[in-house]
Amino acid sequence: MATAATSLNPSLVAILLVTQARTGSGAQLVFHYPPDPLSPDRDSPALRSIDDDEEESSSSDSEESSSEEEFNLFTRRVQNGVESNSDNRSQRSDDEDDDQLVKKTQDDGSWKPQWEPLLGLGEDGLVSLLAPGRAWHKRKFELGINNLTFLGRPVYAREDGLWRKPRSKKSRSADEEGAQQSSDALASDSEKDQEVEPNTKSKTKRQPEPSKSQLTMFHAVFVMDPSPLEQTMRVKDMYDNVAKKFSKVLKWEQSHHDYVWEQSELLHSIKTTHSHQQSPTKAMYTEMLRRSSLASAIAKVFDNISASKIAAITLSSKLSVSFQIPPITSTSYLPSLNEPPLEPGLWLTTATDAVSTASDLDATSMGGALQLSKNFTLLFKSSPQKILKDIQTAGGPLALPLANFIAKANPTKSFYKISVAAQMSLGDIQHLARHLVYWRRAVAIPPLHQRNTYMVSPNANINKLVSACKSYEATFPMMPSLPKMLNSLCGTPVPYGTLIPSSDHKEEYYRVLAWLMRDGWVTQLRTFAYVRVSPEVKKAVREREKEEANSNRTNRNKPPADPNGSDRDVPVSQSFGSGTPTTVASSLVSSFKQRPSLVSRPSSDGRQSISTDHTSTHGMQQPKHNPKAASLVLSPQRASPEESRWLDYIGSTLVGATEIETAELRQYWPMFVKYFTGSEALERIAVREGLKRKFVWDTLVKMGLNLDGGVEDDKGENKGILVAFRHW
Amino acid sequence: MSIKAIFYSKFDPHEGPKIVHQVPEGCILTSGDNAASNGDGPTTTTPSPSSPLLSFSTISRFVIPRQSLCGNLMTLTPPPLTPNTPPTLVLSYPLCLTSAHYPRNEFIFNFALVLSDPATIDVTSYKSVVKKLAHLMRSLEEQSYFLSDDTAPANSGKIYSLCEMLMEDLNDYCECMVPIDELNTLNIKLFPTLPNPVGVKPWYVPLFTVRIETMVDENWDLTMLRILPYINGVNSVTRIAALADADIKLTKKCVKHLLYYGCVLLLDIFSFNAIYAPTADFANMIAKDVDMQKECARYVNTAFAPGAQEEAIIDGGGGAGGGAADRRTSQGGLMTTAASLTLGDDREDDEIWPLTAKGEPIDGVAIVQLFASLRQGLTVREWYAQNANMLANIDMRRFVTFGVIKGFLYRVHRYAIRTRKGGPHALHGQYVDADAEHVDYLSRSMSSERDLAEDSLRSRKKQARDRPGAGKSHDSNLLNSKIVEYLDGTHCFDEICTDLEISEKELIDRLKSREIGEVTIICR
Repeated sequence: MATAATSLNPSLVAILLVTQARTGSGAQLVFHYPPDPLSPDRDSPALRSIDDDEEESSSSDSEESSSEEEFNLFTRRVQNGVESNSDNRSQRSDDEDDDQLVKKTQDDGSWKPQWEPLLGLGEDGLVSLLAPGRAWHKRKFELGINNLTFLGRPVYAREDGLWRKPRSKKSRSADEEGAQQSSDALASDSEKDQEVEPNTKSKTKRQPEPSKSQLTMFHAVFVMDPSPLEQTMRVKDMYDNVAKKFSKVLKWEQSHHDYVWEQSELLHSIKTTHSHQQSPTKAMYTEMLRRSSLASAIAKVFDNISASKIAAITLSSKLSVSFQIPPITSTSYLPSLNEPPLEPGLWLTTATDAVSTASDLDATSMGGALQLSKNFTLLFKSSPQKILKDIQTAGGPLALPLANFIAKANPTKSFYKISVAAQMSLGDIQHLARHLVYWRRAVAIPPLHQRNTYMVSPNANINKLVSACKSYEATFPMMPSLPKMLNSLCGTPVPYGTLIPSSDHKEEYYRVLAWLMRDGWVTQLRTFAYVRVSPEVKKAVREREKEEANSNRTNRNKPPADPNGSDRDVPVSQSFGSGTPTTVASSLVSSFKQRPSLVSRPSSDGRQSISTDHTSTHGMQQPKHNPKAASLVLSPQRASPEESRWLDYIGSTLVGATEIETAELRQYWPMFVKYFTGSEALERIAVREGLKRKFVWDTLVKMGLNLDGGVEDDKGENKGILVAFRHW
Repeated sequence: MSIKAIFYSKFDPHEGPKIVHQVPEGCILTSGDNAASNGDGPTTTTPSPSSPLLSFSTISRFVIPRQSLCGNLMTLTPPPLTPNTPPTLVLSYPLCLTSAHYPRNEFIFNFALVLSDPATIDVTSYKSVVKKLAHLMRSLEEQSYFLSDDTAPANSGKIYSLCEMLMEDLNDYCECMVPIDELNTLNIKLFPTLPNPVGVKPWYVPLFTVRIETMVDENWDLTMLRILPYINGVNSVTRIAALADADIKLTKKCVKHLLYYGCVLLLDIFSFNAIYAPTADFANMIAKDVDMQKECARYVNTAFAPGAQEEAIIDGGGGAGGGAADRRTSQGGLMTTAASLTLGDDREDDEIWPLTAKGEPIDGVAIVQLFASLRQGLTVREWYAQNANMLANIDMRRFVTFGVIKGFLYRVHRYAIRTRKGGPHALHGQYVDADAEHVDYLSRSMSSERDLAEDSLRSRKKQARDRPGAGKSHDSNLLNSKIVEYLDGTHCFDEICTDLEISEKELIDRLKSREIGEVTIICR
């Protein structure tokens, strides 16, 4: 099931708008989109997955939505209401629409709603269910009829018929703003504007006190047809990200400008006219979408959300909001042949996994869902120039800082380095970066580096290879072709730097790498390791213990085992804590998926954490070691006393080529040991401990990191101290 | 306790929608005792012995809808009665019978299930329960006015006890058989909702996860019976179809069927040229799990494969080499878990570890090390050469397959793309083209890639040496032109070899020859 979440398919069938008026005529369906939701050209995803065989999953374009926000300012005129003062273009297209409209109404005389019975159930029956009663006021409404799910959040007027509390206007709107989770600066900002200066010359006579609206209820219903196994997840996504937010925005507009009622009246009158004229559905919809900002907003939400894009809608000249169902940007799980495949091109990595990075999650920063490590950086999904242009078009208070940040950002520099270089605060940078990531402008990645190893991702979208070759060649005419680049990244893993012929080529090669990463062609191959304790080590430690016990027994009259253990522990805990505790504890780490952390937290005080672990491991899962077999130390941070002695012994027996080297190895062993957890990438040691990458790597190799050869050494003996493996 | 309650409601011509019976009693507030909750949201609830789950008045319009909406399966999440009420889901199937027998000529009724938190249970499996119940009740009503003649007081009588039994049995046994009268019995079983199986490709290799011979009977589908003996974890679907003399499409359907019920797994074609590498699950599986290491030892130790020698796995180049002996060994340990459990019982732990060529046992960590040393760019053959001593008594196909089955290894597939620009029929003017392409290539390689250029030059020299004689070139060209169709980078070598019935070695040789043009191989 985990994999199902990675496929984009919001399974949206239609959006309906139901309103109820005071006049007692009952609820009515004011608007629905698309005009004929069940028309056969919409193929159901359920059917598609049934007869698959030759069909490959449809390729999803990565440059989706990049142009969406351009429409942010696209305002639509409400009839005899707000004069659209900004946009000439929209007026021109209005005129054209008018011409077309005339033609359309002439060419076909018969009018009947081609969608009836709506959704196979009929408009009347549906409406009777979609005005569910006050018990659902501001609650999630979820009704399934056969395989369709009707999802919404109905909002009712107050008992006294008002849409907001009479006097407490200030607190009310503050409430709303607080609830406005769209986290989009645009939305909340325009709300503030509205508060300050509502200069709309709308038909509603602006009154200091809220007026009684004719409207008693409205309900925007999202009709979905998710497959049974995905039902819960799809519905939750749609509700949390779209349905709920849309309902809140409408509520705000309704309580401030009687917006929903006006729009509903407008749509009703258009419908009536057209049914009198018996004009075709298409003409009616053209007019509704043109004249009603709500209708066009609903249409846009439907079109974009069902295409998994960002829907930026404009309700009035002052209020524009964007909705989206945030896509999954990375996964660490590669499904087997028996499972549904991942969305091709999805970034495959453990770098964003909570598990692999849990060791430096900062407890105080756990609030947001989207944590960004200061050791990460941004990889833009389109060219910075284009993003800059879009941002300038959209405006908003973030535009300037965003532009500033984008100009400074570089996929090879971590947020921390950018912050130092650009003199911006790290917090600001992370905030801006989160904004860009949330709105699909960028993904957060560990900075690209020539010492890192990159490989062709098993999830690379090989079906797009031919088209990708063309765009690659246009972008990098002087570089080796895309197939050749991929070819050189799919053999025996080598650091990326070895592909770069000279330092003159470095920049261009980084650009290529960023390009390859962005479209999921390559992913970083990260190295992980465990310490292997060979039977010889176990034996040596045992013998040493015996000796010491004997000497203890002779020298003092104390029980042997206990003081021995604690004597040994003291240096261990000291050495483990001796790294650079501040870096460890303070560095934050991104986690898109929150998973319970399997890895223990290194506290700044190594002594404490280890001593508490003593009791737990002692009592519970002390594994029985076979003295004749080797074993792995699975979590050096919470090593048992016995394991600690082994680790110490191994550290003390490290030998380098020279004496200085030996001393160095033994010095760094305790620092490095805590990364040998199998889930902590060794590439991070340098970043976290502030050491040179080359030095760390050389030291690791001297400690026994062996990624190329066989398991046994030249003499046919299995002596490795580190068991290392690589994956994304 | 997935079913929290079952209730039977109908439209009463005098009282409107009402609940006739409910199990357990008092779990649904009826209009009598919760006039308050009609107000602004749920307010107070009278404390009742079995705490109420929902209020009927809020949902009655969905349970007893207007006539036009009857005959549809309705699922509804009722608003919580109090903030502490656990989330529930009401599944119902309202039906409307029209007959002059009834007052107002119609009878609307509904048997509804109240399920516990829909996020935690398989709701879909209960949908068929509701449907079946509704249809049975309709036929009972049509036969004998079973429902409309029911005069038993609320929460008693035949219908009430039927609901009671249904709920208890489904909750406890996931099935029920409730006799109603001589003619009718309510037989219901919950079936889990399984995802549709993924597509089965001709080059996939199915492997049983169950002992199929204990399940099969002669009434099974004919194709299925034919292909079963050839499913062994070695043969690809295409090969199975050929061996069983069965249609490839039907074979694929059969495998898909087995896959749906979880009877088979899909693997890739094992060969010594194949490349495998660890996945992100490596640390959490084989490395941490000592039991998995033991399981692996038992599965791969050739000492435990009676009669089958290591040579059973033929180094077949690209094809799936497999003889009779091989098939036998595969079937012996198909169920990795089941087989290892039985083995584990009667063998000392010390005995399970395979021995090296020198006769020393390989421990669990060594197995982890062997898996860890598989990586991108390293074929199984090369890996074997590096670790020949340790692998002396290990069935390599099983070793690798074990990792793939568990999911901590993945197969790195090869793809090829023809990078030379120009028409697809370059095969004819091949030499001219090749020269042009050579120039083109050189100009490109100016930029940097020394390694690649050398590689390619070396292979070009080699090609020049064994340029094919003119005689056999016709057949060869035919095959080449077929191969060219696969060279858009979207077809893995397993697919090409299976479709064209050639070995991987032959394919690679042909790709290297200059007849096809410049081809780049990409591993993924």
